[in-house]
Amino acid sequence: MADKVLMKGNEAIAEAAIMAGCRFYFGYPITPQTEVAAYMAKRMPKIGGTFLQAESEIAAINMCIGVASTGKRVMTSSSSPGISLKEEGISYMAGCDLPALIVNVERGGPGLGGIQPSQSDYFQATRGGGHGDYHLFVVAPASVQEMVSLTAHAFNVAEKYRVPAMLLADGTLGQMMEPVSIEGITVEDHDKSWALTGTDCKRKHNIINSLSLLPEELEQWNLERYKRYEKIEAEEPMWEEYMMDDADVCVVAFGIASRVSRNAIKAARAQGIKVGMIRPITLWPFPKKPLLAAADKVKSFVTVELNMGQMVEDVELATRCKRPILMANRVGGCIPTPEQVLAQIVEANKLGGAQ
Amino acid sequence: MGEIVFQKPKSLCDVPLHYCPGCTHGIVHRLVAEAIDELGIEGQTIGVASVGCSVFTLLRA
Amino acid sequence: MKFKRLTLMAGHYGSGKTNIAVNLAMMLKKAGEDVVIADLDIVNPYYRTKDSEEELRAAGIPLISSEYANSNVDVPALPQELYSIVDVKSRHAIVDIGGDDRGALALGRYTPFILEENNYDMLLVINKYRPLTPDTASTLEVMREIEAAGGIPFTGIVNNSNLGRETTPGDVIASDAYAKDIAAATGLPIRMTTVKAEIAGAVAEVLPDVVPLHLQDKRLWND
Repeated sequence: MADKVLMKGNEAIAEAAIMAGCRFYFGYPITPQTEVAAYMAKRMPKIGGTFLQAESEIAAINMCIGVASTGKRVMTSSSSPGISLKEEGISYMAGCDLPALIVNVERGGPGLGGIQPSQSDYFQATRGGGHGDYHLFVVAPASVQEMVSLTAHAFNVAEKYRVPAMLLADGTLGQMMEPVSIEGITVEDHDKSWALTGTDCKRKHNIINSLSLLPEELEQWNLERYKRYEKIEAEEPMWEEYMMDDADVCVVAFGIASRVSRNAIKAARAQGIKVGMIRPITLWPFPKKPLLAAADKVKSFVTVELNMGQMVEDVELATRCKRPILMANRVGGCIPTPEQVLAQIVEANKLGGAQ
Repeated sequence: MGEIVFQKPKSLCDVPLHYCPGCTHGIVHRLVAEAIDELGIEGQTIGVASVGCSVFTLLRA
Repeated sequence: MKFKRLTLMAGHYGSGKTNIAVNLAMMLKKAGEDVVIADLDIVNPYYRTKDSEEELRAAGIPLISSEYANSNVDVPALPQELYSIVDVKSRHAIVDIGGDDRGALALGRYTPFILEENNYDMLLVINKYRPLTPDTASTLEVMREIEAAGGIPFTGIVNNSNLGRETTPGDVIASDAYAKDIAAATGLPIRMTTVKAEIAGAVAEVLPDVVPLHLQDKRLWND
């Protein structure tokens, strides 16, 4: 017990990043993630790191490009509209094959929206967000402890494959306080021979760049990058299965929606409905394998999301639309209740058979 | 009855002011409305509000 | 526990001020006193005193808070009604102040009146298990920053050391040394040790002045 501390989700991300060796943070205030920046402002100077409140989110992401080019671990964070501002920079990072961590603590949208939580940036995170062909390694924590473990993991994966990573959380996860352990974080050592560190006139100079003069060369860069994405899709999907062994209905939910869904599943089980949950932990790569397998065993799916229906499309694709899929959702900053999810589980249980 | 010596400008909507008491943001807002009244340009004026306390001008009335 | 007319709760961000403020207001009301609770927090976007609005109303305790609390915006606007905590001297006021020095800044406009009336308790809420205040030195740093920002010196300590839902009696008892160390360094008394109601009895066997807390949990789920 003594090795645990009580942290807000936002603080946990910041502390985990520091434990994972990140010594550079560039950010800008926006509710509900300002605590990430505030915590970094307090901690970084004490450990010889750099905290800078940039003049805008666009400036912050470009500062990240600078640091990432030198092979050092760097992080920025924002919420929904601020992430939109960063998207050009994120595309550049992907095109330059730079590892870094971008944190999105989602709020209601679109536009200025509101400060309450949402999951409506799923498409933005997994379908580019910025221009061009690329993917981010996207993780979705569902607890403050996962805010810690997935932050550390995202840095490692980003460096292993030279891709930018995104941690997709929502306002509630960012603001809630839970006891966590910040021990046991491993910092993997990956090749950094590509980084800009000064040649000392002893080696050929490295170049970080996403522009090519020749279309065929640019095509090659894209093809090579997608080979790395293939490796990520093969080796890095993460998910959790809950009560799936005998399930007739499969709930699919990530982040805060999965916490609510657990309550609903327990209530449904008490009513005799055999329901379980597959909780995606990586949103890209999406856990397609377990969902396809589930599609051959369950009668129906229920996705639970804080958006107008985004992850549900990935569930349809992964399950090849073999089974009916219902949705329990709220938007605008509202959170689905266990009762609402339960109602959809009950409905889904009445459906059945192949499409 | 007494003579009215001061009142809310006409182009300031008749809703409770949302700014903190004494905040100069509210004072500036009123001054802008007074200027609009004096110049008689309410019908030709488009208001623009930013994020921050002035965002409420988009939500009230 | 004897209450001054004004009880101000301040401390590091996330130390538990809001929960304690609501509980103390309920305690005072149960003891037959006229009490109002004021939310001065301009730092926290969620988890505000406003979460307990229904319970407070049912207990007959008026809540003064920003009308934007728990809405879709987090404008740090404090309502004019807050002045009543210093103007209306016929009732107690429990004041929940936002965390750290940033939260204490909001106190400034009321400080001259509070000091003049001189019938207040400014309580430092401490939690050893918060990562930025794990020891005396860091806690004293936060304490001095708050005093400098708000202009009101602390008069006592409230030990609210906890690990949320996982708090054990052992965790609270183990924090007593930390609280005593801060008390010694500041010369301030430990006014109470606040503990969630389920384990308060076990802690009270070892520590004095234990006040049980009923936690305000506004999550839609429980796990």
